[in-house]
Amino acid sequence: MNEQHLNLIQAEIDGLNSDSESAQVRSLIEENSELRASFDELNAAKLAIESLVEKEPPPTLRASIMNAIPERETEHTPVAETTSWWAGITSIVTSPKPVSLAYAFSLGLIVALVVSTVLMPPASSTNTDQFLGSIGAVNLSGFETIAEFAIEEEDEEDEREGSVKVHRNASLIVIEFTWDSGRPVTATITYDEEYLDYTGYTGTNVAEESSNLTTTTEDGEVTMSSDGPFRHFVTLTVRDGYEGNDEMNFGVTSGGRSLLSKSLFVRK
Amino acid sequence: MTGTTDKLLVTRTLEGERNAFGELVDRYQKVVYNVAYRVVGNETDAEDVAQTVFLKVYENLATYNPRYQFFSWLYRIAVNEAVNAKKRVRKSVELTEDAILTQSTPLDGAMAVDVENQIGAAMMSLTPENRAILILRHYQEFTYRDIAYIMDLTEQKVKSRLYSARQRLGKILIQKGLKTEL
Repeated sequence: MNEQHLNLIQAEIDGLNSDSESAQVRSLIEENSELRASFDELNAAKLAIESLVEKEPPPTLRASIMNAIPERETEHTPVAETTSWWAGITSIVTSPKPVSLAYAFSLGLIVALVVSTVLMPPASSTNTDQFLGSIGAVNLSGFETIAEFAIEEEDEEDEREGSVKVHRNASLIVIEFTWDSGRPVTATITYDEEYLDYTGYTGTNVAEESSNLTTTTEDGEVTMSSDGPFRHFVTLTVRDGYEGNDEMNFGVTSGGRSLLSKSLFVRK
Repeated sequence: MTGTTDKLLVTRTLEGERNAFGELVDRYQKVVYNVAYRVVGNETDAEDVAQTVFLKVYENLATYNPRYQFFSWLYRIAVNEAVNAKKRVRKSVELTEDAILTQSTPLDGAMAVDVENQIGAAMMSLTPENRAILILRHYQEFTYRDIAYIMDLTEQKVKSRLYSARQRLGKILIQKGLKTEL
């Protein structure tokens, strides 16, 4: 019995031999009792393990696992290297540099989206009608807030506060903007229409002195402008059949000046 | 397998969706539990191992490299945990080959449970690593290459360990008279 014979026998047990190799093994074990014994041992072990009955885990196992895991902070996945849009926003908002008065009116709302979070394949559709029309009719029950951040900034003349929240329920994405400042602001979301479908918006000025809240949409871009406080909801839906693994660009502009433009890797 | 891929569930878990991780648990708790059970040899320890495995998976999910299949990575953690757990709780002396042969009753072919128990007892004479390698190959049907990744061995090492593990187990089973029933 040599190493070649053992390799042949092992491969036979594992079903890796060609027909001619299998015939060679059969011939070998017929002629050589030592090889026959070796083959029988290996085969007995294989058959024994294959005969073992699969056991059902305890019914409480799942619950004990889920009860034991801690709450997780939102993280970026390891699928692709991306720049943290949140970090980018934070660094801009908290920058110690003096804010130039020339840009003071243009710096208001910074919006970006975690594309990978937004582009989950849809599990089901949600009726978007509830979001359209009166602001008072907006009902986010059943939605998960998948991203939320506050914008706080002040300079010599004014305090500016706002927030962006991204909510999701299956294929429906709702982006909620709030802006509480007398400063004019323009926020623009751009998205790839191949993957996301704009479905509507609803918004209101939340201060009587505010006016000129406008929302325009065109070719994968939603632009909101206001010269005062407002609250706004934009809805997007994930298109059926989205397969992911592409790069998308989400651009952010305010006051006509580009404040943020990122290329984000989109995961399936 | 549902339409949602493991990698997508990983992504959603990392984004804070506990339900996504729950789906991964649903998919893999049975295989993890079975690997653990066959390595540690009893239900109580297997349950502990399975729970620990999923906790480690959850805690280390950000380090998962999507170049590999998720389940291969999961098995890697499961096998390591089961093998190490068995080494830690080696509170009773493992049965030797001779002890198994003398303690076990002759095979009653009509008693499938007894056969199962005898196979299980024979397996416990192997090292935890060799039990794991046999389970991965013949129970989970992993390739040499997969096993090499899961157990952090070369493929050649996998083959040699597989050979010696099968030979040892087969010898015991044949001596116990199990061969004719298989």
